[in-house]
Amino acid sequence: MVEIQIKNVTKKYGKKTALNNINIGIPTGIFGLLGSNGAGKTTLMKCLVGLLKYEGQIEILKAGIKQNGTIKIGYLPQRFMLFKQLTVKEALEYVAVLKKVNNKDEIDRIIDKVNLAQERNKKVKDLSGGMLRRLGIAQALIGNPGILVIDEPTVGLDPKERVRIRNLLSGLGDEMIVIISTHIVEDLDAIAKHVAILKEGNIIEQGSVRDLLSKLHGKVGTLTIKREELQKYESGYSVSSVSNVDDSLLIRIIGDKLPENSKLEAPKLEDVYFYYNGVGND
Amino acid sequence: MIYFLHYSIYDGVTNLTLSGYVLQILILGAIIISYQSFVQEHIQGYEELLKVIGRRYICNTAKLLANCIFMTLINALILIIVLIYAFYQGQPKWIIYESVIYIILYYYICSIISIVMGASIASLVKNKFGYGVLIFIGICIGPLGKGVCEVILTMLGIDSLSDLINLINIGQYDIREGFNFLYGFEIESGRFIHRGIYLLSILSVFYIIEGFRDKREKLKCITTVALAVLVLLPLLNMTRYPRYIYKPGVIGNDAKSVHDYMLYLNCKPSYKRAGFTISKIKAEVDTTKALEVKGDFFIEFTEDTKEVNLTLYPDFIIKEVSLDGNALPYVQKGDNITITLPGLKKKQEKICLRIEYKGLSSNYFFCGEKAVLLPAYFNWLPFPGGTTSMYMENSLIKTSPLYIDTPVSYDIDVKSNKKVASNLSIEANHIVGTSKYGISLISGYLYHIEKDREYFYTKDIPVEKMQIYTQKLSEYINLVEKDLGIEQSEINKVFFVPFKEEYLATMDTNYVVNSMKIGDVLYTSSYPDTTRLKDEHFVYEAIACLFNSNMDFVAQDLETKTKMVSAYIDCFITRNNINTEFSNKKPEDVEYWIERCKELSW
Repeated sequence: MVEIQIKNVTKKYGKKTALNNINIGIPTGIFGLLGSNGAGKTTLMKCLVGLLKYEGQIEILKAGIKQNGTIKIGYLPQRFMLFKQLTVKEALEYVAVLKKVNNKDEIDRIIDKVNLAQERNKKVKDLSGGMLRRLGIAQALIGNPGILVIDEPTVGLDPKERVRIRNLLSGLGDEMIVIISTHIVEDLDAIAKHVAILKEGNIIEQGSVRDLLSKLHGKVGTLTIKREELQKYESGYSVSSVSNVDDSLLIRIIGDKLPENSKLEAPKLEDVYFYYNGVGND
Repeated sequence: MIYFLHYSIYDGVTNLTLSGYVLQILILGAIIISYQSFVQEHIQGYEELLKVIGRRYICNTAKLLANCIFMTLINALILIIVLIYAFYQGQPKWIIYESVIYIILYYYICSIISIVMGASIASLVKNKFGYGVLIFIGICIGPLGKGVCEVILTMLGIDSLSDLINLINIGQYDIREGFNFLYGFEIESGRFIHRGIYLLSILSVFYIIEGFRDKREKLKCITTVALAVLVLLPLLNMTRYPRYIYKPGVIGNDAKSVHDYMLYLNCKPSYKRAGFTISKIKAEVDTTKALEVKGDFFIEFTEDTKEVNLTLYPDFIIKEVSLDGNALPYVQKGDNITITLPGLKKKQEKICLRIEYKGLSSNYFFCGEKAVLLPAYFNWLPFPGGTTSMYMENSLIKTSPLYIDTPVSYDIDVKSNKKVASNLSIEANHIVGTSKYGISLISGYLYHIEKDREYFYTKDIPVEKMQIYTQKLSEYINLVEKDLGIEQSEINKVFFVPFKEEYLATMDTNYVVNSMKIGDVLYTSSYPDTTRLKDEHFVYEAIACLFNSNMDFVAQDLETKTKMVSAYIDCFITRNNINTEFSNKKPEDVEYWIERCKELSW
């Protein structure tokens, strides 16, 4: 069920069109916005949270999100920081004051939820990148927002921290609409129910992950080739990955037409991304 | 900052007014601190986040308050330091009180204005040019910038913009002067109004910018604009309070505006004898906010005439001239007023003219030379005759003295917030008496003591010192009077009050004239300390006293006056064998100039 309807949204920066007539229906759960750098993901996020003016309409259909004329949105921008000299708890208390949240237990609950209990008295400036992102998610959760907008949550994090963030977001998807923009497809692969792929300000595909994956059935295959054959395959097909297998290479190919001797594989979200966005765009 | 503060006030907290550097540091410090705190969101990257969370008004207001609290603490520190110095120096209570008010007006409110200014700049400029803008604006609105800007504007030939510089300036008018022992600091209520409007305007600007940046909150935006319009309205009304802004000419003649310079450029001192005498002046004088006079002038004509020529200080605005309740036409040009009478008035006919006028704000009235309304040098009451009393000399506006050759009976009621004194007797602010030297009106922080004579003084002077000084000066005055053949008169009243020496005759010596004796009243801006108790000092003062009281002498041109005084000083010192360290450039033909001195109507 669509809870947020984005209708004909266009955003221009001078002559440059950042978003071109975007139409997306966002249901409850985790929604992924995929696209290469400069595709318009952050612009769309900013339009969603009201930071930018745009042409078109963004309708919030979900009940209970609007309160006193304002929409309860939790937002984690791409560049996140809070007052460095405050501790984690103080920083969250500060945000709680701004959001008019008086329940101090909620802050403790959120700190536990994002797994920052041990760092609650640590100063913001002393947090690692991953902790800082979790703090970012924590501040976004204050006030029990109906919508969580998270821009590039895992950029620059180590694999362990990325998994931790992913798991955290996965849990949140059951409670609210979580919109995640990223160019790291792995982040969404396991957790997103719906995605939209943006390219140069246009939506090139959208839908449920299941539907998108089913569309790619029979279009993803792997093939073991000799090293000297790689160039030939790369020029003829869309090779999404190459890995070493003994003296040979194992390549993953995406396309409507696959080499005859290739072995069909179950498609992944990354394949969907490459299929629509093209290999080598990111 | 504390170093500059100490440097300014270590020999007297009255020198707070000289502490332009302290204020400039406060302004720059406050503006930079505020800017820093407001661009932190941008620099550290949580500006977007706070925008989405909303309630930026609360967030910004909290920051403003936090910065204000910080600057309050800094100002409290300054206040404590000043109070310690003041108590240590044994300053009178009124100086301590005024120092506190001064710190509130010039330091504290200016710090708060700077805080809001920094926040406003942060709202507009967040890039690397921000600090350049901060420093430029910080200097422009500070006491140092005023001088720099005025010089630049003069060099560029756009003096008209100096009014704007004065409007935006929140520092002292002049960091080289300001405190006056009669008047105190420049802390009239109007300056508070100016700073208050300034603060509200800047605050409005800040919230307007923030309101428009927050596009979602239309209602708040509209409210802000509405509030801003309400607050900015008084700004448009600012022209009604020019005297509370640092308008050139507010203090002292040397700061007269270009307009005034042009007015007096071609003036030469002259005196046109009036065809009438003023026998009595009965007036109500209000000095609480401005010098306001409502007076009845009893006139007796000495020849047939159709008009009355009077001389009045040019900054007064005449509100009404009437005869028996009927308004009379008049023309006010410079310091001359020509009143057209309803018909020809015959010799010996008497009339009573009602004249009401107002001018000179309290700070102007009490400051510098205006602090002492010397009877001959400042025509705050109309003098008979068309006299050009204001003229230019060496790029300075000078005042030529006026004198009345017939005694006038005065009946003056003075309304003043401060103590009032006069050359005539005064009781409960009511001056009554007759004088052929005019009337002086002195008001401000005055002390009064009677001990063989009446002493009025401003600084905390021990009466013994005043007695010794007056006695010794009196002896030398008697000597010079005897030498010149002047009828000797005892000094009955002494005013140790500040007035500008340049109003007195210039002598070609390194010596500064500080005293003036008119009738039985001695005015001196000398402080009777031990360095002043040398014979040569009293010789110069005594000669200056008498020469400057001689209207024939003062009416001479500068070169003549210089030669006459220098010749007389040389002659007197040689004759009385007085040791002197002062250099006196005597003229070549001393005897001729001595003769000229004797020819004056002593």
